[in-house]
Amino acid sequence: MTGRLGLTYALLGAAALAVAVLSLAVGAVRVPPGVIINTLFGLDGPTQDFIINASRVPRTLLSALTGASLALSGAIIQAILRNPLASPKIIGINSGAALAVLLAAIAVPDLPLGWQPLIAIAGGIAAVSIVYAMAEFRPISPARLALIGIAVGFTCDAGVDFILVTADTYDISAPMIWMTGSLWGRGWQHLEAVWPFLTVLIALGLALAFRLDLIRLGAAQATSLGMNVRIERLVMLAVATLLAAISVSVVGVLGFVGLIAPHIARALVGGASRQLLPASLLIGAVLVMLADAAGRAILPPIEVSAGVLTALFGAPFFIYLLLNRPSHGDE
Amino acid sequence: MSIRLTDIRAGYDAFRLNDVSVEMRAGMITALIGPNGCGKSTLLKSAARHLDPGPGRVEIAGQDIARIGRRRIARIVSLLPQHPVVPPAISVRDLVAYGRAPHQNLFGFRSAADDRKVDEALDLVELDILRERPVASLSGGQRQRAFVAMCVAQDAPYMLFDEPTSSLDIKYQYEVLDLLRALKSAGKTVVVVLHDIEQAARYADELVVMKDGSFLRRGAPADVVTREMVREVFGIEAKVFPDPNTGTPLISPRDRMSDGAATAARPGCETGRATETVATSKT
Repeated sequence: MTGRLGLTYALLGAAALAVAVLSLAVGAVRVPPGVIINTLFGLDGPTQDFIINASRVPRTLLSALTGASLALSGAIIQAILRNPLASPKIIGINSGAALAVLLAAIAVPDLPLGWQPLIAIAGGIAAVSIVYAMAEFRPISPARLALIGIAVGFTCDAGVDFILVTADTYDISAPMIWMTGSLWGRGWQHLEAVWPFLTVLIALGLALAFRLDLIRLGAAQATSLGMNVRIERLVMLAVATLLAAISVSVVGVLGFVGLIAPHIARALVGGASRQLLPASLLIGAVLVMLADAAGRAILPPIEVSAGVLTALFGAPFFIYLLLNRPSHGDE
Repeated sequence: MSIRLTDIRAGYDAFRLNDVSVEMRAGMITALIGPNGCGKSTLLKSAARHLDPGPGRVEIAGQDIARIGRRRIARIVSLLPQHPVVPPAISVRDLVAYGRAPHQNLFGFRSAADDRKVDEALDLVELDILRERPVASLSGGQRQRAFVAMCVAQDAPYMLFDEPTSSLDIKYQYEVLDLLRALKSAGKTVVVVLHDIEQAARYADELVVMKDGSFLRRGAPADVVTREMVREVFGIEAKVFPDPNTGTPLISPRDRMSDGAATAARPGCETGRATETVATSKT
């Protein structure tokens, strides 16, 4: 069992590395592996300093970091809601962020682009806070939290749709690219802005693994095992919300990663959070790096949004996983 | 060293206990019985402080548990909820090991002592050979034993069970009840909500009878389970006689079809109501 787990992690790590190299290689200009190595390690021979160091390295790192964060957030939310269909989207993060960004875009058309991430984070947090406050109004249950999340999400989506059809296209062009989930034009400054927060949050999320396992036993059993379910659930929800909201703020609405990565992880390493969370994290990083690389490689120099590709290729794979999973009739 | 509940008024919006005061004695099996919705589960949950006892007090071994933290409560008293949740893709061993949580730090690092307790618990419920199997793949009876093992691993001296036999086949019901008896032999104080009065009478040292949110009476099964109690609390006419095997009370409801008086009274009443409904709907 331990040997198999070790092998799985080794393979996941190798996959992450391979996809990272691929992500450095592909795009409008193809860079051969030899040149990548020369550039990264300062070796003699042909190099591609600008394309690799200034553009693709930060972009690859950012896609790995946000992919990992979204996947971890999804795994935490699935555990809290005890629902395999849950993801950051289901508690309103994505829709709240999107609505806030669009509202800001039409209210203050001259708003500097640098504000967009902050507004997205605020919108995501605001949506989750509303959901949580309403769910907490009566004794909280995972099902009610999810249902209220969906309702608030739909309300925000209605606002988004309204703005999209009524607003001046010019005002909302930047938000629209962001909304499909894209790493286009993302560079060092974006990575520098988010990595300290995301790294701390990832560490926190991983540290919560054992408590997350207890909460998956249901509130009654978790209480019986000495948990303060209300407070600990709130902390977990806060970590998951921040992970997703910060990621979404820089790379846009990459909704599918948070849903699918934990499922792939569960199929590979089982359901115990101490295995599930790190595996989800690696898979999320691989998925977003892969989607971003593929988006650059398919129709260069045009870029296809990573969000479009994660859904396009992720969804069939997700269905394949669900159909092939051994059933114990419990879900 | 008992569980002493005083003036418990726990409950929900629609239902509250009526200042229940009762004691569950140490080293015994106490069964809470009563009709659906009588408050027996609510009382059990208050005893483990899953519910706020209102103005009342819960003392376990002389200690007021309102004054101590959740983790310490969990080292004194365990409670198996009525419908435990089975998380997907979790092995039996992982599940049982969660029982050690109140003895571990936030990250759940297991000590050698933790591992030993988990192994002992698995042995007790005879699930040792299935330890690597996913809990979700077990039969209903095996699953329930796995959850009992989790409580055993928790190693609290006071162990509460909320209808641990519900939705199990009869064989597994007795398996679980035998486990409770084994726990008592191991020195635990067991309090269990049971639906089946005969099983409660057979396994418990003392019964606590509840009705409509109130405590009715407490005592040895043979004293408590009487024809009058069955009529008053459960609303059925029945003969109560000792089990030829164990001497504990058995309940045989009067057959309504063959009994003149009952046949006349009950279906007549039903028909009357039915006709009335039809009449109302016509107008």
